[in-house]
Amino acid sequence: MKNLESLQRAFQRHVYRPGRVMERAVLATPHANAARRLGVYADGYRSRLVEALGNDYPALKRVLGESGFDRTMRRFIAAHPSRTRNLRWYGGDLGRFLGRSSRGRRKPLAELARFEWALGLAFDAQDAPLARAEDVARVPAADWPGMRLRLHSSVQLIWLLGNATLVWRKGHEPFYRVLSTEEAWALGAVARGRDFAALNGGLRRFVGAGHAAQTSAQFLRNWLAEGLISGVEPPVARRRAQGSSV
Amino acid sequence: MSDLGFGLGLRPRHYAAILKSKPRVDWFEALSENYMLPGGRPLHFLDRIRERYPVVLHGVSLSIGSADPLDRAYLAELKALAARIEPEWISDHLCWTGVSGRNLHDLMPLPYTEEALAHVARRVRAVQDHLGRRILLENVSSYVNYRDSAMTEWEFLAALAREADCDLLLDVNNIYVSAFNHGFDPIEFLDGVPAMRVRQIHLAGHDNCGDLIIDTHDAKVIGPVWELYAQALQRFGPVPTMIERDDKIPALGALVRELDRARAIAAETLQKKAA
Repeated sequence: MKNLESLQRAFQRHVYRPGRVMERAVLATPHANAARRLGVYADGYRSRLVEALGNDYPALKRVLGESGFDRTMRRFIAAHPSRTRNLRWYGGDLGRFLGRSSRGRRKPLAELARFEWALGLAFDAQDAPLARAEDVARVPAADWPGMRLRLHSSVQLIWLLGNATLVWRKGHEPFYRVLSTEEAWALGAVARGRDFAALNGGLRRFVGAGHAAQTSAQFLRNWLAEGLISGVEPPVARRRAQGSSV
Repeated sequence: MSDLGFGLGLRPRHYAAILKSKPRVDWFEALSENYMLPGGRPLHFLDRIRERYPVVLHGVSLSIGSADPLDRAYLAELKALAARIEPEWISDHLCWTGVSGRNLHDLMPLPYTEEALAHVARRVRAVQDHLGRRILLENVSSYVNYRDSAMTEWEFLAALAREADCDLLLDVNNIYVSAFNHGFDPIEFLDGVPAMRVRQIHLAGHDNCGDLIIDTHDAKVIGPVWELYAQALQRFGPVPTMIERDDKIPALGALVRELDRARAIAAETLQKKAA
């Protein structure tokens, strides 16, 4: 093998699918032949990735069992050579892989994988200050309709076994809880940047016009207490921010 | 660079114990990629520990020997982490980790050829220019020797340090492992490395499979590696030394006791050397 690039490509191919070509490029010794030596890298690649996936997906591993998890992950690894520098980001496609590769019975496994990945994303999501009840109290009543909330970077809404599920980080630990239909809609609206008037308008469909304002106020209290909100933006501050950026 | 003394690899299971017990450890080595994250617990603890101890950064994904172009996004992230942590130094491995845009997440050995030397030296200089500082490169444990290699590993390391003006992180366990796997004399390795470039030493355990030794970092440092460490100090003088455990990680106290053994060996060896 004459140059570095062709040597590395051949070795990488060997790690993916061991064959005889690479054996000619390395020295054998009486105590270990070329196949054995190259095998350390090929075996190590798969076991290292399976181990990393086991750390990212502990519940999926418990459901599938040690050998079932190992078999499934090896299929995933064969279909998904790593393209990421940091092993932390390798397993993000597992939910999609399980959802695609399977018949209907695998769907819950795909959802479980997406859920566990979301927990991981919450764990090391960007740090951001949390808004407090006082921040909301400072917004004059007249500005409430135009007020917008900024969700903490760890907040994610996902489907898990037929339930809208909220995943976020509280302190240093990821948390989750199942959401009612109206709360799932309301958080989705906040995530899309809708203001409080739009929130109340939408909630009328779920709880009736008489209860919409009360429901949104209750949601807001809970979200603040749970650490879901990073910012409360009254319309004036937004106008100023927009003005200054022009 | 100063003599930092004796350190440990920073591992998440020890975060709380480090902050609570203020262990007899002079510095910690953080694995760069474990903290190249948006936020959360890992960076929180790294910041807290950095307030109390010197920290060095040790990467596994620089892929300095790859035929692919340097990963500028990775370098930018590493530089940002260094700006936050202000490490005493930054190290990675003399290896490649993937090619054609892919990553094997392993420390793949390089052929020791003039072509590879020129390629790696050029890239080390580019990385050092980007980071604005000299880096340390570590010798890896290896299981294959390429037919095309035209020099020994230590000749390659020595030439690289000279041509790229970089420093070396000597993993004494890796020297022992590779010496066993390839049948060379580890003392020849030590003798071939430029003493002035050796800025840090790693010590670790391994798994002897009989035909090959696999570098697992999951066990205590064995007797012959301690002896080789003493010989390294005999040759290089005092060098910041740490124990690297990546798997089957024991309680912090056990690693601090193992580190005490390194302190004792260093004290004895350096005393003899001075005499």
